[in-house]
Amino acid sequence: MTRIDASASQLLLFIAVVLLITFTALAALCILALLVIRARRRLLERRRAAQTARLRSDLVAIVDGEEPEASEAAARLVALRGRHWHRADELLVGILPKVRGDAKDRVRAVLRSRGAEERAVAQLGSGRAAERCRGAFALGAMGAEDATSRVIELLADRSPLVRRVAVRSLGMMQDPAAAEPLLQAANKPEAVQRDLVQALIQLGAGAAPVLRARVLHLIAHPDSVDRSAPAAAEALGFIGDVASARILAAAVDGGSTALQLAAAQALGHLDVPAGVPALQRAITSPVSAQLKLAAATSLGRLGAEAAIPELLHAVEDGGPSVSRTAASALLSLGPAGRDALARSSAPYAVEALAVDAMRLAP
Amino acid sequence: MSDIVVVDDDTDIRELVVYRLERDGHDVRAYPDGVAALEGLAERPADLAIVDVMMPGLSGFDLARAIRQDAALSGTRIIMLTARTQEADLAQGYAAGADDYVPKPFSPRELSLRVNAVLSRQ
Repeated sequence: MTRIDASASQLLLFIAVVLLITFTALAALCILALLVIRARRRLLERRRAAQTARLRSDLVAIVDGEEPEASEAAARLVALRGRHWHRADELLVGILPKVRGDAKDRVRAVLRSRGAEERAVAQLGSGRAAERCRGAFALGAMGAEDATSRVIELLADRSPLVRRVAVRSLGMMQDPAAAEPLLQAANKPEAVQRDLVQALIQLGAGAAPVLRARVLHLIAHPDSVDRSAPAAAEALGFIGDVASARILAAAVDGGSTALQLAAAQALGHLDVPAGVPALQRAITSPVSAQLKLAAATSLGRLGAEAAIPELLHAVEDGGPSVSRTAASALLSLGPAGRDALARSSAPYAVEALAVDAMRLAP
Repeated sequence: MSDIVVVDDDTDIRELVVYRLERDGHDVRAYPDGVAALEGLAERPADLAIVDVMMPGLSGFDLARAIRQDAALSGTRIIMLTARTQEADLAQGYAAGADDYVPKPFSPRELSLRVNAVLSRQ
């Protein structure tokens, strides 16, 4: 019995030792594998960083180098193949929205010589949303006018991300033909108005007739639900379309609340007096404090001395926001506005003058 | 040759600006954010700072104000390099102490001309 116990103990000890050695060996192997994987990853990262540094150096030379340095750098990039070209392509497309003039033309020429436009158009038909986004962005960055209609189609894409990239790309493409489709997209419930307005602004003066027509349409049909007209009005202001001043003034007088607000803000960006009477009426109208705020800001921006009585009335009778904004507008009119504030005993007039005096103090 | 500091969180823009200005013969230092730039300027003031407006942490406006408030940096001129070019943004930049604006997307050649113009002002 004792001999059997001793044998069993020895066997157990043997098994324990074997297990210990096995686990130790496995642990050592695991650690070794981890070290190898980490070292390999570091090596790949270093290689990738070195390759990116070389590519970036060529990229900078293409954008702004002198000849023959620029041509040599372009030839090196164009000769790349496989994943090396893929990385170069990413860098080239990425830099396009950041530069303009000759610099942009040079980068575009390198991309076109490698058929980047055709590839981007092909990406638009991909089943993967990320690929469609890449294609749309590349076409926008390259300003590929021939592909405008293909990117417009993406405004109805099933993926909201693709639709958003399409809006931005159309802005970068600066083709006025995109104005109408972008305005239609503004009426979709998920539309990001900020992106749409920015894209419409980028389209520039060529898009102004379409934008004016959209504002006029909503003035004629004030009860219709149309989110595109306020976006159009806002864009007209930033584009600086002086010809739309009377239309925007009419919108301040008779548009929907959102259109009135956008038109009042837009008039402040147009350096013409045509909108001043409508803004004077808006600041005294009881309709909305937001409209009064926008009107006061725009009157100050326009330097409309004719509106001093209305602005002073707003300082004396408005709520805190309207009164302060109107006082600030009066200060921006210069001595005439300052004198008007000095004649008033309203708390916000006194406050504005005191703050202004502190600002001017040495 | 002038001592110029470039502050932009965008690597592409930083490299392009440095490349152009070094080629123009300037001594250029680049920083990815406003705090690093202020530290660099404290060690060695510069003749000109080219500053991006929208940066994480300290904005370009904040950095311009900090430069203007530091007597040791009174000789540093400031050019804002920014996509924010609305009237109100320009006013804010000039109020913060900017001497000039260069809009993004930018042209390296135009930047070079503006740098020379700002540096030549008395």
